Amino acid sequence: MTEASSITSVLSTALRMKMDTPFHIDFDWWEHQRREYVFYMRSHLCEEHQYKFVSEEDDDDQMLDWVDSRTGQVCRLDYLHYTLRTHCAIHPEFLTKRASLVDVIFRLFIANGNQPLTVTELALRIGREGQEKTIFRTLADESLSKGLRPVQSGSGTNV
Amino acid sequence: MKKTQKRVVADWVESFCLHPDDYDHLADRLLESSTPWSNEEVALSLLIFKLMQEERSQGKTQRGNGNVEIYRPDKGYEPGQALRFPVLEDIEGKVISVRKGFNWTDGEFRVIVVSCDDNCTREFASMLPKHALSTDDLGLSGIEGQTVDEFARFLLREHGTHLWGQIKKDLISRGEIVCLAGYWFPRDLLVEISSGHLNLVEAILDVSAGGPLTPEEILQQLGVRADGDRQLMIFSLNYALQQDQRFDEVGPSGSVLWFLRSMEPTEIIFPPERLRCQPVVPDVHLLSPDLEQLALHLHDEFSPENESYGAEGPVEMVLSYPHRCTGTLPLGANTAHIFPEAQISPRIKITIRDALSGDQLPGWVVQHERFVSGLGPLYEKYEVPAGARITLLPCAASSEVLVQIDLRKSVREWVLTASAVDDKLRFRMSKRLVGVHYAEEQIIAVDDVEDVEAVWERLHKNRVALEHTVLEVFRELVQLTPQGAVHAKTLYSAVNVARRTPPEPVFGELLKRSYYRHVGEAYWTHDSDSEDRYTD
Repeated sequence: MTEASSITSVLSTALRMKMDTPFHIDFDWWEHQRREYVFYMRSHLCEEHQYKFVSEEDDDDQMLDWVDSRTGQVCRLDYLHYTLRTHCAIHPEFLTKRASLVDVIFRLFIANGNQPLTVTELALRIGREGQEKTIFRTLADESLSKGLRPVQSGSGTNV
Repeated sequence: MKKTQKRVVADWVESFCLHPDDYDHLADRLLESSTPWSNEEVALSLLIFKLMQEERSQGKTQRGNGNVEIYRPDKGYEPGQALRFPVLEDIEGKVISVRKGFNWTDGEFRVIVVSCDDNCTREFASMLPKHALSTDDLGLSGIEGQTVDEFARFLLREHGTHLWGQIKKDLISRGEIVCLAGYWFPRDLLVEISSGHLNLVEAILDVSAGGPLTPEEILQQLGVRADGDRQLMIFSLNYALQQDQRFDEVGPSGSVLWFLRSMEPTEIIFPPERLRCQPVVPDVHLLSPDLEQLALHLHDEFSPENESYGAEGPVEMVLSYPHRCTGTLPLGANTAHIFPEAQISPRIKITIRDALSGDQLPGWVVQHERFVSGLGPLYEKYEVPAGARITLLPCAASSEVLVQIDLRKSVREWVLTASAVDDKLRFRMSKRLVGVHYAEEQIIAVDDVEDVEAVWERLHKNRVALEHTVLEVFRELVQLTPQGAVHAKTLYSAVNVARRTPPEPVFGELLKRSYYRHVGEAYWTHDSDSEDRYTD
């Protein structure tokens, strides 16, 4: 992406967003980039599962039903995502491990079941109060966003 | 209480909000009692009502009577059944299909596909062996021997702040049930107070030198008999007075006092420009740890709040020039506990008691502008200079404050003195008779107050930049010591003769500009060769 088009992309996204806009991981966005999805999701696995997934030839395509412990709502997740959410994400270091801003936010959404959060809430949860504008700018830049996007009105499921 | 039950209670509290049924219930109860209810009575009544509703809806679920059922993950559902989801803001939906659920940890279960009334299709677990929502919702029947009433009290005790915050917010936004001094009553059921009565109240307050009078005193003077519904009558009078611009509620939290607005002192209606100041936003001025600590010790009311919030007992403070000039005291985080506060009234009437003579003076706490007025006569009486140490002591009566000027034997001393020469502020050392204890770095005498005030007014009107004012004042001060060094506190105090500012922006200037040089402790000097960015 050229610099000009990158700026245009940032501006057009920012125009649609406000500081109180809730964000989440848009898994529809990832649908179109399956290879990158697998690679990126694997990078968040814990050591035990990094090894396990590398040793397996391919990811299991079977979808699993993940039940939200608060609401009883069911999300259909692939094996990789299910493992991340039910195993790796409950390790204390999942959120505290040194990582880029985008990666930390992505992990937070994995850990909270992709419950939408505003920039202010994100800053608070990841211990970066006062850096709301940086977070906002990062999320506004679609080239960096890793599918972290504003919640579209009317979207009912989190996944 | 079990962990899962605690979680359910916490979720219930978090999703708590009032529905139309709740407003109707509260209005009916208030109508029945014909008397305003306190915050606690309102909260308790609403909680009991809602808990009983929960109990009823649980019963409905257990019976499975074909109406909308509360969703529980352990139950089995068939297509066509209507469900309600309390933890999802009470959305409702209809089961459209059922399939087998699959994962490795939850055992055998089913998944129901529900078409929800917000036009979204969601999936939920059913026939799931273990889930927090499947425990007796809220545990109403699980806590042995505990009635709904007791459970409501428990909720208020444990989650009162959140629950009451939500109740208050919902009631205020609905607007049908009004609140005054912590009591609630439906607006439509208030006793009518005529304009004739309000005119009489104006006259009553006028002959009482403006007030303050309690509503009971006003009713007595109005000659209104309210034997049966006395509380309602007082509530209605308070409401009518609150709606009328002529009257100002000036009581501290928990008591209602009325004052005639037209007789309030000018300085509380139009706060002195001399005191007007923008609060410092935390972390905007990057100070060194030493300067930050120094700023903290100055307790400026517009500095960011610090750990002294919540302080107790007497407070010793140093009087700044702007407050000396306007006969006021600062209302900062360190002095807040001394003065009464009010939830709604912006001004509170107080009595200031001179600790030395016992004399009483009328005073006002002006919350938003952060000052207390009425100290002028005391400053004049004891010839208090800016920089004097003053002790404030809380009194048993919430609307009374004890002020102690720390007197000592009068001695002639060299003190920093401000004057106006050629429409400019000048500082010099002069011998003055001082009869109070004072802060050495902050004492400032003023030769000709009117002329100095004229300079302040010119600087204020011309919006002279802080950078220029600080430099002008620094240049003056630096000539007054043989070492050519200025204490940061002295700079802050002297700059406040020229303009009102908290210490942080002044100290920020010392660090920002290359022509200031730190020479040790809190002393700074000035390098005139480096004044490349400033022209006179």
